[in-house]
Amino acid sequence: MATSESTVIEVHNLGFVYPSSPGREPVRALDAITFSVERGQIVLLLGPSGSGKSTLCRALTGLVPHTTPGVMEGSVRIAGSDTRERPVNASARVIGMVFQDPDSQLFSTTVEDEVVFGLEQLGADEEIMDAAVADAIRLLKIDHLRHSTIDALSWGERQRVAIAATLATAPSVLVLDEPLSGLDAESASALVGTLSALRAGFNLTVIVSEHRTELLAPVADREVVLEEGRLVADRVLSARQGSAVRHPGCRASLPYRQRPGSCPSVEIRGVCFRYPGQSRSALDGVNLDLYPGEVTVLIGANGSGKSTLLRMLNGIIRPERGTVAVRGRPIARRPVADIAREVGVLFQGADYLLFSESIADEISFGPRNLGVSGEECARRTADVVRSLGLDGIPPGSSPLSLSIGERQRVAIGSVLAMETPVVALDEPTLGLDSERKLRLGALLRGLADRGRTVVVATHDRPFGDACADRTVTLHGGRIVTDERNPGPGFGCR
Amino acid sequence: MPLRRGKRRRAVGARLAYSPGDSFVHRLDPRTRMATVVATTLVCLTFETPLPLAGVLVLVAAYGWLAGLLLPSIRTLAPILPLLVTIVAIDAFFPRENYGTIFWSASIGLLHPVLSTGSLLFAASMGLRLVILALVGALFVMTTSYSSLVRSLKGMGLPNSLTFALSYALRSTTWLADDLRRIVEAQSARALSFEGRVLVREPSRLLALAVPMTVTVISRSRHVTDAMQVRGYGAVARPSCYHRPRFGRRDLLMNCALAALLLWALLSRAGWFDVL
Repeated sequence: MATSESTVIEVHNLGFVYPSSPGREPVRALDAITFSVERGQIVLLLGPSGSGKSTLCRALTGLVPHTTPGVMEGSVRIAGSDTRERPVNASARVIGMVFQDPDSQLFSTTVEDEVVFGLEQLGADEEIMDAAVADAIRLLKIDHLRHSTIDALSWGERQRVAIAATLATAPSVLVLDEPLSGLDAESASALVGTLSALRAGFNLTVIVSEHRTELLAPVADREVVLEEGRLVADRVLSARQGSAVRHPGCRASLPYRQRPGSCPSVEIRGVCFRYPGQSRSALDGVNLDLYPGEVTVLIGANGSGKSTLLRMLNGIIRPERGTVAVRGRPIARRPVADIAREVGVLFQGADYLLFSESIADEISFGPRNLGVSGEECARRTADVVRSLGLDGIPPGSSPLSLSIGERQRVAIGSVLAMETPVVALDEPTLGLDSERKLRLGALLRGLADRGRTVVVATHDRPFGDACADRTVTLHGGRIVTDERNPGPGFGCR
Repeated sequence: MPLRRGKRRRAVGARLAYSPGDSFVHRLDPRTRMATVVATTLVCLTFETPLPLAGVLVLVAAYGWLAGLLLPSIRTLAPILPLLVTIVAIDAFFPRENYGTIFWSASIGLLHPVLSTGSLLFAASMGLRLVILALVGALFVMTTSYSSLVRSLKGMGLPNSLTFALSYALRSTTWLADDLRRIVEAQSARALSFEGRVLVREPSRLLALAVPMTVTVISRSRHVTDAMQVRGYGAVARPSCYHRPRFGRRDLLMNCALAALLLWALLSRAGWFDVL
C-alpha cells in the first residue's frame, strides 16, 4: 500500500471476527478491509446495519482488539503507529472517538469537568488545560453551558459536549459513530458546520459513520461503503455531488384538513404538561386530532415535546391540564395496561424493552399480556417477523444477542404484534439502514391503509416525508404547523 | 394538580442542593468546609449542656449568615422536624439520668416516663446538637459543588480511581433512576401492569424489569469503559487536576477559628472552664 507523509490512517487487510454467543455462530464483522486517509479529509463511512461500520470505527481507535473480544487480522496504523502496539488510552492524543450515545460517554458532573477530563488524564499543565478547554468550548458553541450539570442538558447539547471533550486533547483524527442520530435538523446542520470548520481550521481528519447522509455529503471528501464487512466502494465526492443529495422540505405542503365525515381515534384537547423541576412547559396547550387511515409524523427540535406527546397517548404521563381521549373515551382514569389495548407505543431505546429468551417470545409478549390466544399470538408473531425482515434470524435467538438494528426491529415488532387501533412510534428508524427504513415506511403505510391510526415522532425527515399523510411540527411544546402531505412517497423519493 | 402539590412542598422546605454563590464560605477551600463539619461535630459531642451548645448554634448561624444561606439552610430542616420533635420528646421523658425537680412521672407497663429538670436539660441538649449537625451539614452541601469536592479530594492526593468513582457514582444515580423509569414505561406500554399486588402474585413479571435493567447497566458500563479508555484514562500514573483548590488567607483564618473552638471544647471537657 503506497502511503505518503500526509497519510494519517492506514488500514491494511483488516479483518475481525466476534466470538460465538449462545445460539449464534462467530460473526465476521470485517473482512480484508484496505484503505488509507489523508490528513484533513472528511470521510463518510456508509453501509447497512451490521455491515461493520461501528467495528471499523472501534478498530481505528484501538478498542478493537484491545477491549473487544474477538480475533483481529491485518493492521491499522494511525499517524504511523500500529494500534496493536499502543494501548487505547495512550492514543487519546492522536485519535478521539465520539460514540453514538452521548450519555454513555459523559461521566463527569459538569460540562467543564467533562471537557477537561481527557487533559487531566494525560497529565496536561494548568495553562494548557485552560486554553484547550476554552478553545473546545468556544468551537462547539457551548460557552453558556460551561458550568451546567450534564443532567440538565438536552440530547443535542450532550452530543456537542461529547465532541468538545474529545477535541480538547487535540487529536489528529476524530471518529464519530452516528453523530446525527437523535439530533433535529437544526442541531444536525450545526454539527455538520462544526465538522467543516474543524477541517478548515485545524486540518482535522474526520471519519463519520452515519445513516443520515443528506447533510454530511456536501462537506465530505470521500465515501467508503461497507457491506457484510467488506469494502465495496471507495469514492471521491465532489461538492456538486454532495449538493445533489436531496434535502427534505422540497415538497410543497398544504394546510391539514381532516377528511370529511371521519371521526378521530385520538382527541387531544388543550394539553399542558411540565416536568418536575423544569421551568418550561414540555407541552403547552396542544390540540390535535389523529384519524384512522392516516400516518401522522411529529417533527421538531430536541425538547420540542414530541416524545412527551407520545407518552401521553397511553397515559404514561398524565396532562396537568386538558384531556386525551382514545376512540371517544377519556383516558384520564384508565390504567396504562388497559389503554395499551387500544394504543401501542414504542419508546426510544430497544434495550429498555427486550428481555425474553427468544425473538418469538419477545414479540408475543404484548399480545399475551392482552390475553390473546396462543394460536393467534403465533400468527401475529409470524406476520411481524416476515414484514420486518426478521425471518433470516433463527427464531430461537435471544433478542439480546442481536445487532442494534435487529434489536430495534424486534422492539417495533413487539408493539405492532399487539395490533392496537392506534400505533405510536418514537424514533423508530434509530439504527436502521436505508433499505430497512423503506420497508418500515411501507409497513406503516400498510397499517394506515387498513384503517389503523399511526403516529411517528422522528428527526428523520426523509423517512417522515416518505410515509406521512400529515406532518405536525412542534416547537417549545406547541404545534406550530399542521400540514397535509401531497402524497406519501411523492416528490423527494 | 401535581403542580399545586409541588408549590406547597417548596413553600415548606428548601431544596437541599448546591446553591452557587460568591460568599466568604463559598470561597473557602472545600477541605476547610469539610473541616468545619468535622470540628463542629466533635464540639457538639464534647458539650453535654444546653448553654455551650446554644453558643455553638449561634456560631453555626453566623457561618450560615456569612454564606448568605441562613434562612434557606434553616428551611431544609423542615422535613426532619417531626423526627427532631420525636427524639427530643423521647429524651425528655426517658433521659439517661434524672435530677432536680420532678414535674411528672408515671408507670405504664414496662415504661416509666419521668419529666424533671435534668430530663428537660438533657432533651434540650440533644435537640440543639441535632439541629447544629443538620444545619452545618446542610450548609456544607449548599456551599460545595460536587466537582469542587472531587477536585479538593484529588488535591489531597486521593487515588485517581477513587475520585473518578466518586464523580461517576453521582452520574450513575441519575442513570439508574432514569433507566428504571424508561423500562417501566416501555413494559407498561406492552400492557404489563405493575400496579397493586400483581408483582407479589406473579413475581416472574419482575424479569421484565430485571433483565433490561441488568442489560442496560452492563451495556452502559462497557460503553463507559470504552469511552474512558479513548479519552486517555490511566495513560499517566499521576493525572493532573484542573483548577486545583488552594488554601488562602481566609482558609487560614477559618481553620484557626476552628482550632480555637476545638481547644475551648477540649479544655472545658477537661474541667479548665466551668461551662454550664
